[in-house]
Amino acid sequence: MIKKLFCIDDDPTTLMLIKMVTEKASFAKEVVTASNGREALDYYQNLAAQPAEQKANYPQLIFLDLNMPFMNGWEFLDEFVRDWYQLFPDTKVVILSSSANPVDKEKAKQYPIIIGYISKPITADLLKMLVKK
Amino acid sequence: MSVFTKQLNILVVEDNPGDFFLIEEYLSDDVLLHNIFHVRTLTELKTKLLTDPTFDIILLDLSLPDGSGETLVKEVLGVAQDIPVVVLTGYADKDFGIKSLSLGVADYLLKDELSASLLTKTTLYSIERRRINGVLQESEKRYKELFHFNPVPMWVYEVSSLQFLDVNQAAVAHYGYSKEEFLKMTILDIRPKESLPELKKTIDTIKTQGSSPKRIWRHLKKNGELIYVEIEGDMFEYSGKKARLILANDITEKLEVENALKQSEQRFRALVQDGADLMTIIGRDGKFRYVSPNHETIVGYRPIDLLYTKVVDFIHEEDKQWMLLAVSSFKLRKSITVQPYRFRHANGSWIWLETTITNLLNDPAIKGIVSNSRDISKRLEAEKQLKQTNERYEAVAQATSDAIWDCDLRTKKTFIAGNGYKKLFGYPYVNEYLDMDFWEQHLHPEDRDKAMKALGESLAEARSQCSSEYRFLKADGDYAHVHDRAFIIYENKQPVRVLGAMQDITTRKYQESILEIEKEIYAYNATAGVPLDFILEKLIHDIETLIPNSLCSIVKLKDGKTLHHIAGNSIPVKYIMAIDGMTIGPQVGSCGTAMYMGKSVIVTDIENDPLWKDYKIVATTNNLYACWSIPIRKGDGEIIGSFATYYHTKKSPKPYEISFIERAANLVGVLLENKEASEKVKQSKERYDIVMKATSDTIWDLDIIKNRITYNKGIHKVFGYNLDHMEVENVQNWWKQCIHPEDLKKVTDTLNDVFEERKSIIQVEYRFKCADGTYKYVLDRGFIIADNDHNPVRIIGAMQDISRRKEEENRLRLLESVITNATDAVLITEAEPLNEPGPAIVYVNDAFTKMTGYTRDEVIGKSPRFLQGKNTSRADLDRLKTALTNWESCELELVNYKKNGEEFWINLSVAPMADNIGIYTHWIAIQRDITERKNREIEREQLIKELNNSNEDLRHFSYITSHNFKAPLSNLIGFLNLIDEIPIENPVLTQIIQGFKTSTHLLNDTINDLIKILVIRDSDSIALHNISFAKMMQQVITQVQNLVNESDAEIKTNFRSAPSVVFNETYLESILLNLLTNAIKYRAYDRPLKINITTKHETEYVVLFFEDNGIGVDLERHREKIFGLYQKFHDRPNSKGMGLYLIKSQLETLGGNIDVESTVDVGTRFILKFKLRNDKKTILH
Repeated sequence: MIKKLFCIDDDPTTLMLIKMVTEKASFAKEVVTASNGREALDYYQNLAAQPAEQKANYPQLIFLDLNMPFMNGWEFLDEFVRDWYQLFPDTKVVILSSSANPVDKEKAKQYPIIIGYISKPITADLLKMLVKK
Repeated sequence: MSVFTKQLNILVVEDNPGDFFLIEEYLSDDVLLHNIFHVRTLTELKTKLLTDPTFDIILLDLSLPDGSGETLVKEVLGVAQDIPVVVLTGYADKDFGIKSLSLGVADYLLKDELSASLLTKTTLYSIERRRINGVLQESEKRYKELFHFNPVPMWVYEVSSLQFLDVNQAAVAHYGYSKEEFLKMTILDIRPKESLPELKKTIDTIKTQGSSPKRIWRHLKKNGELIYVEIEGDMFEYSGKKARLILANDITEKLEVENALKQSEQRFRALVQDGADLMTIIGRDGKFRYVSPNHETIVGYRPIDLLYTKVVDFIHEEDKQWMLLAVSSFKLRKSITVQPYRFRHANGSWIWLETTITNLLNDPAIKGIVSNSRDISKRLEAEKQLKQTNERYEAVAQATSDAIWDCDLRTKKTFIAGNGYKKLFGYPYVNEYLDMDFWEQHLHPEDRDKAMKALGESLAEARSQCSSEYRFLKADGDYAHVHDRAFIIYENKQPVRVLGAMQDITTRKYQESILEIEKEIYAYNATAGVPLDFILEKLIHDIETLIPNSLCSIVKLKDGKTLHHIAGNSIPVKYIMAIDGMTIGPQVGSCGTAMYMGKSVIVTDIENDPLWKDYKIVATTNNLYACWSIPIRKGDGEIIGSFATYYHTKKSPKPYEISFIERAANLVGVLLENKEASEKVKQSKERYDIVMKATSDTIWDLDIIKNRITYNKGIHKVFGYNLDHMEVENVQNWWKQCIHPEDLKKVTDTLNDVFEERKSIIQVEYRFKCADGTYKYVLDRGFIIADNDHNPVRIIGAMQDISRRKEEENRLRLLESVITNATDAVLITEAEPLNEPGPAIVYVNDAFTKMTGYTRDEVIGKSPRFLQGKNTSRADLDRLKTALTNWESCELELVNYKKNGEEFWINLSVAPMADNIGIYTHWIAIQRDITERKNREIEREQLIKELNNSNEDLRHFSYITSHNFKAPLSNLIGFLNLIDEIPIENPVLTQIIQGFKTSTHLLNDTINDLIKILVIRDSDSIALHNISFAKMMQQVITQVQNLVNESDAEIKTNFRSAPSVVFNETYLESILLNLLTNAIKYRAYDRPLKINITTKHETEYVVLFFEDNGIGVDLERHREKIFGLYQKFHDRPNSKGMGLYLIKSQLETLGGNIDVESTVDVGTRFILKFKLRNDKKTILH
């Protein structure tokens, strides 16, 4: 079971659905959310300012949507890897997208931090497979 | 002092034996080879010198028994002449030793100080000093000779005092003063007073600048006569004084002649102004109406003698013709001057007159032609005399420009005098001796022996003159032909000097050579059977020999436009091929320009001459760097070619070379014209022969009275009739029988007309029947013979078979009408030139006018190029030109322009037309207006471009929208999945939720399909594999096993003939799955489903047939739409109308296609074609 899951998606319904599914599948102890890349980066900036104890409890996994306003998933990833990955080295990312553009899937392969590319919707079965990974 | 290679002869004059012994000792100490001779007294010395004058030095003791001191020295010097004398003195006589030097001894030595080395040194110095003195004296002597014996008056004057210092004999003879008188005068004394101020100015210039240019002065002789002299001067040192050497050339005679002419001109002018002209008025009838009284003094007639006589009767027979001609152009102008002509003097002699005539016929006061004439006999005579004098003068001038040389036969040294050598041969002026070798070395190798022999013989025969001609090397490397006249000077019957004058006769030599060549060429030309080519090549060979390093070429001008090489084997073949057929113009190399401009074109540097701008590459790559071209003209002035000489280096012509080539060009002109003329004669003779042979006319003789017609054998040969005695009675019947019914009326009408109008000739064309029943066209010409009452009694005629001509005419008319009436524009041009300005149009049909708006008259003679314009593709025109250049047909589409400027597209097809011997003479072009099609094509291209753009937009748009669909839909499914696990009591709610589920999944499938299609459309690289049909089919069946089982389908497959295909796996799976589910979906419920799948190979495809026995599709109604998107032909469940569209898209993406055959309620057969891929790489991928 994952200690902390970070869901980044602009659609509150999607966030709600993920929360419900993960709770049901007992996937994560704690779920934090952000509605776009910018917000997500703010979260990490805030986290970095916290005492070491809290800092250590950073999200192990990020469910990342690609099409988001203000800052999309790719932009977030680039900045995260550049600014925060060193501070939170055990972070893994799963792309959770409904994009049909084949370019995105190809692009995902170039990021070692990405461990999965899941087409929505997320299901309990998929979560089980992820846990195995 | 290596000059002393021989033994020295030393004479010692010494009476004291002890001293002599000492001297001998000293001299013998030295390595110098010498013989010592010894005399004791003055008397002995004199005797010795008389018998043997070859001593090199005399050592003289000052006190001899028979003489001493100054007297002795003087006497010894007197007998010693050129031999240096060294005085030996005792110490007591030291002062005298010094004094003796002024007497002329070479040196003096004190006996007391005598030593071996001193004696040797003095001896050698004296000898050498004497030798140098000798040379100086010689040179002085030579200058003096040149000065004193020069035929041109010369003198030397001192610049500061203007005093004469020396004058030569010519000056004495010419000016009349003796030498003594001259030396007391200054140069001012030989000038007229009026030129003194100017002279002083000139002298000031000389004093400051050291020189003054050559100019003409007036000089005064002793007898008071004024002469004009050309003065040339040079500064030099004369006995230590600054002096000027003057050469005064008397040119009075020449100037006088010039002045005489000028004066006579002035006199004539004065005459005109004084109104002394002969004046006449001539009436319309050409007779004198008024004659001025001065006629009597000039032409010897009183006016009364001339009045009312014809003017023309007084004009010289030879001048009449052109006089009349000149006057005939008179009508056009008011006043003309006729060139000099001869008018008969009353005493029978001829007077030259120059006349101006003025037309005053319309002037009521005069009503005639006024003539003003001037006697110019004297002027013509003066002109003639002047010309002769001038020639004489030229000859003299020529003579003085000779190169003078002077050879000393004893030393073999040669001295070059004067500027002639420099002028003639271009060598720098060297005022010194040259070895005789120099002359030999400069002789042309072929002439050396001859020239040497000529001189040798003259010397051997002791002649005083020697004349020879040879070639002499010039500074620029050419050889000049030289005529050398030499005078041999003898002394004591031994030849000692040769004085020669070399005259450059190159021009004359060339003239002679040309004459020789011309003579030879004319001789060849007059010889029957010698071909022109041979004569031309012979001429070229001669000229190339005569002008060293030249390569000759003769080109001929064809049709006044293009040039064609006809002779000149030295010209590189590649070059000939490059220039042959070129069109002449104002900047087409030398020959092209020469022929175009009609004048000689001398290009001395091909690389940098603008005329060769476009051709220099071809010339220089063939190593040609200069080209002089002279146009070749016929007798009437027409240019028919050009004669050119090429050179491997830059080269400027010498005047005589040009005149030489000009003569050669003239000669070629004569040859070509001659050849042309003889060819014309030959042609006309051939024509005559052809006519003779071709008089196969059928001659007939009609006797009208007897009504009988007689034929010659033509009636058999041409028409095949076998007539008794070649005769036919009852002519009307015969004609009715033989003349074509359609022509009979024409013939009889013509005959009646001729009879009625009493004409003597009849000519008519008609068809005449042959014995075999066929008709021949004949042209029948008859001569009618009438009796005294003008009644025709007989006609003699000749029937000419013109069937061929007629047929040809008919055929042509037919062709013509086809062309004329064609809807395509037809245009015929001449075959050439393909370069500017292009071939001229000779014909266009009506369609052309309709198409372009240009009428026939506007375009005939022009090149079709005016139809082209700015949007005409350059590349296509180049393609056209290439085809034309190769005489090939060509078809292409071009933009042309109508007369009103409108642009239109044509399909142009051009083909060469040959005459009956296969020579291409014309181009025929057929043009079809394809503007409409072209415009449609252009529109379509535009449309496709726009579509592509909007497609791209659409694609981006689709990705975005698909995402927007997909995201909420995913959520829906996610929530529905969650609901599944929540127990629901209410059965209605369960039903509602089930409805939700079904709809959501259906929507999801649809969206996914749409996205798939989108992805197919967008993929440019799709992985390809070699896929087994059997394996894939099995995989598909397994996926839908439930459906297959449910429908109880019987599936048969046969993939033996094509077991596999290279294709994308996912696509193939999707295709087969879609087909299978379709077949199940649309099965006929009243019979068990049967599916038959087979494959086979075609040339480019693997074909898969997928047949079922289902409900079928009404293809009549739906064929267009069956593979479209969202097309549903049945209301079966789960039908989304996307399957077939997907299949089609997937196949087409990889180059295949799909077709369908179907009968309603019988079944459907899909035919899928997979493109065969031979590329191994793709298969491996």
